[in-house]
Amino acid sequence: MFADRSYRIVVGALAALGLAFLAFPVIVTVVASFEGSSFIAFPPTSWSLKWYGEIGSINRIVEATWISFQVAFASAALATLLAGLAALAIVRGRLPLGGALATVLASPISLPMIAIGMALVQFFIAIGVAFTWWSLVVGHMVLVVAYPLRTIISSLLLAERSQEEAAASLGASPLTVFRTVTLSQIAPGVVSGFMFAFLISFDNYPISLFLVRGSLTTMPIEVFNYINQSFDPTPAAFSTVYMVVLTILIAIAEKRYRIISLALPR
Amino acid sequence: MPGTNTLAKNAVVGPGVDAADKAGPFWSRLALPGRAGLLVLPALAFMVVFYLYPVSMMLQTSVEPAASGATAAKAGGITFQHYGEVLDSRRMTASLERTIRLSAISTLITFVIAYPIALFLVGARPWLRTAILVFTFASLAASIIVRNYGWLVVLADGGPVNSILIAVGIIEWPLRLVYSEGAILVALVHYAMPFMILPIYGALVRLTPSQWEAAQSLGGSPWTVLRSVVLPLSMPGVFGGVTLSFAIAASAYVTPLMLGSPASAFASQVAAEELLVQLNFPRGSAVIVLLTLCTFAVIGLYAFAVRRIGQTHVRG
Amino acid sequence: MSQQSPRPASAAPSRRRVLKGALATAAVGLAAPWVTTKARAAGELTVVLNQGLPAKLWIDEVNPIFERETGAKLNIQQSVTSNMLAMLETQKDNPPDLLQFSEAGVFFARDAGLLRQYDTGNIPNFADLKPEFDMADGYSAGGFDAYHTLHYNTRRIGEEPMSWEVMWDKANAGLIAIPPITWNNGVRMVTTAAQLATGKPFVEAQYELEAGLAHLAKLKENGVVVYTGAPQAIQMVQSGQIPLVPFYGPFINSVIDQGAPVAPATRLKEGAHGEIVGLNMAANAPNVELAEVYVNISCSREFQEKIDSVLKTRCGHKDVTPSPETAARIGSPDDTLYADWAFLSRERGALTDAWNEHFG
Repeated sequence: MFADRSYRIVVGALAALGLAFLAFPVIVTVVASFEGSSFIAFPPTSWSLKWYGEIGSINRIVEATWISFQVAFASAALATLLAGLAALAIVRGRLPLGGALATVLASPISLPMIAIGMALVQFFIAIGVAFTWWSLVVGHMVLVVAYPLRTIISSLLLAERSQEEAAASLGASPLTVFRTVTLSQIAPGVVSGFMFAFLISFDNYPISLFLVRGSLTTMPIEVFNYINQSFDPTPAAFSTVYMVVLTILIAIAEKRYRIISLALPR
Repeated sequence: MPGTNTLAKNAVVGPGVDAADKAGPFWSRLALPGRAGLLVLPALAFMVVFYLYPVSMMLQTSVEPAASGATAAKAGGITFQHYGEVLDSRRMTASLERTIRLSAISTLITFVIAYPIALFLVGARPWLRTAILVFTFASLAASIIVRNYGWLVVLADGGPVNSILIAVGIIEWPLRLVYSEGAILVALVHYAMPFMILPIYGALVRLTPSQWEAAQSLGGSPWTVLRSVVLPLSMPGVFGGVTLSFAIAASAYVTPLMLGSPASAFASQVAAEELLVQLNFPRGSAVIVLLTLCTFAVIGLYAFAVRRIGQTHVRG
Repeated sequence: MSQQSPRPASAAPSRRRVLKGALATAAVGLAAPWVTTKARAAGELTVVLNQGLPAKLWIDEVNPIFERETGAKLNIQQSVTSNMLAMLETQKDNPPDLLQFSEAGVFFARDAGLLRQYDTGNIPNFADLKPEFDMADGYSAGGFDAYHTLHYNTRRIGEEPMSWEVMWDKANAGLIAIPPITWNNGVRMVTTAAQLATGKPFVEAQYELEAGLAHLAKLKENGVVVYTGAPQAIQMVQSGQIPLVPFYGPFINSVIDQGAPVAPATRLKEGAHGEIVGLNMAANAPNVELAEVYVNISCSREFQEKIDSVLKTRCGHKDVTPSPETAARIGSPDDTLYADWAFLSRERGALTDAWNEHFG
């Protein structure tokens, strides 16, 4: 932005350090997965790929990861939908106490996650749907609805009404205006909110812990169980694999749908 | 000055009635306030049933008279005995204080590290920007459990951090970094970074090049401009990032569990112990309620402070 | 950076995305199981195993046999004793069928009406259990002895410790760890400290909890670290960062077999701790017959021999004697002390609060 050299150098250096810090545990995880001996060490004492072959020894890992993926997608999608509607209502519908309402709807992130888990499991048992797939989705939705809510409200506030007014003045119905103009303006909020919600749900441990039983289990739970009984780098290998997969998915989505560009405010 | 209205308005998590400011008369007819307002109903209904009701049950539990042993003999009525017990306990109040303190510190550090990154992203070339943003999201994709275990290894006495510090000569003997507040702090800062970077970046990107240049033309170094113009204008994003990071840190459970010790317990750990080990549901619920109240209080104070500063800034 | 008007092309992908997302959600939702709890429970056995290496052993060895014999589905969860008690309490109306925890929890659970007594007529192998492994008169089918002692890093600590007193030795400042009070061995550390403080034999000293806690608190001056989980404890001792860690043998023996420089101190003057872990059936267990089959397999001689060879600890079967390798890890049976858990579980709440005021 500024042409000033000292500015660019300092900001660049600080940013580089910050990004290095952000990257650090990720790099540690990836590098530790190649450790040859049976104990996680960094730097590795020897090199081996064998732990990638051992990923299957994490109990029911394929099933658990698939469930986590489904649950994350469903809860993120539904949460984004609910949050989007609520955001529209709060910002455009000019609800009284809209600010308070938004705060309440977003408040689950301030609550300890174990509280949400414990409160919900007792509730679900009482109504007879405990430990089902949908109850797990509901539990995650409660937590993640805050993220798309915040991002979509933010997008709506910063959206330019002039375009909507222009479209309306050309005779478009409110629904058409919404479909063609508003939706694209809130796209950053929708996309980034969805991505946050997905990633948070996918990796969630405390809420899932209370809501699962038996054949319903999630990836973080099985990884945590594994870490308690084997101290080898297999979880690091597994984490590397799915991180790479998710990054590729995000990158593909970026290429085809330019979602990162969509996730950026314009 | 452009944007100050936005500043004051966006200084709260939700917009409130001020949204009317932006609307012209034409649009307000089309907004159909009544009908659009109804859109909130699905989310509201969902949260009332699956969030407010179960949580209110927890609130109720926290004021129940104590049950004896495993069988709950409800005597009826409300008592604050459990809150009294929590506030009397040195350990529990220390854990609440520690949770708030460390969350605040980690949020501050996260802000300091994330702001330059966001600044850099604004001026970066598109491909680099996209790559960094993909990476920022992807860092969330790494399992928190595996990451924390990695911190245990990295921050160990014989681990790389200590080795580097010794090699460089900053310290002579390894520092006990793990099983302490320090390790928790590092992990919390790292976890909160994506949630800080993106809102700040979103706010910075709102500034037009003309605003940047106009501010610069008023004289002063880039740093002065940064401090007096850019930073205040980016406050909406900063506010969002700060409140989110703080809330996430305060409600953390896995991170303090894996990297700390009982002496560095967070409130959520203490609550979990009361609920799952002591089977003292009223007391555990009381801890949770107190933690939530403290978190809201801190965020509320911060919102108030931001508003006040924003208003003085406008006048000044 | 500058505000551009949105190009039409960018509106289309976001719309398409929303539609695709909605369709995908619907497809996923329809494909995913929605079964109510009751329907799920029938014909499926839910077992909560003790988190760590024992769970792994049961999963690897008992589960295949069970699935082969009954054809029923097996749902495994892993947890620790205290959380399992909470599970039993809060899920009274729809509990897991079997839970694996030790005598530390059995008496409490039985007295609270949370456990169901075994109909030993339906479990032939139950009769082969040693008497002390039939806990609380048929309420728990003991599987293995969670032998607990001081484990040390052989590279950093030259000689095998001969007394628990080494933890209080100033020479070992900053090199010691203790378990949390939420773990059963945390309670045993208090009883051991009571032994040291009062000088009485264990059977009497275990009741002197106040004296024990006061003595244990002195470890703070010696820079003690409290671990909160198995990964931490094992990381500490195998890396040598904290070379003196009281820990359960069965939960670390496999790691030692893989070459970790760790060894148990089996000749401690004050003795090591025994804690019998068994399978317990919940009071309203939905699948009693299946549970009985699972317990039967766990008590069978073939499996019990695996306990001896893999976990390297005493097992419940009366005809299985410890192999030489196992004997090396658990020392003499005379030096293994079992506590009065009926008393300790009653005092546990107050003890936890007091411990927390010191170490929390």
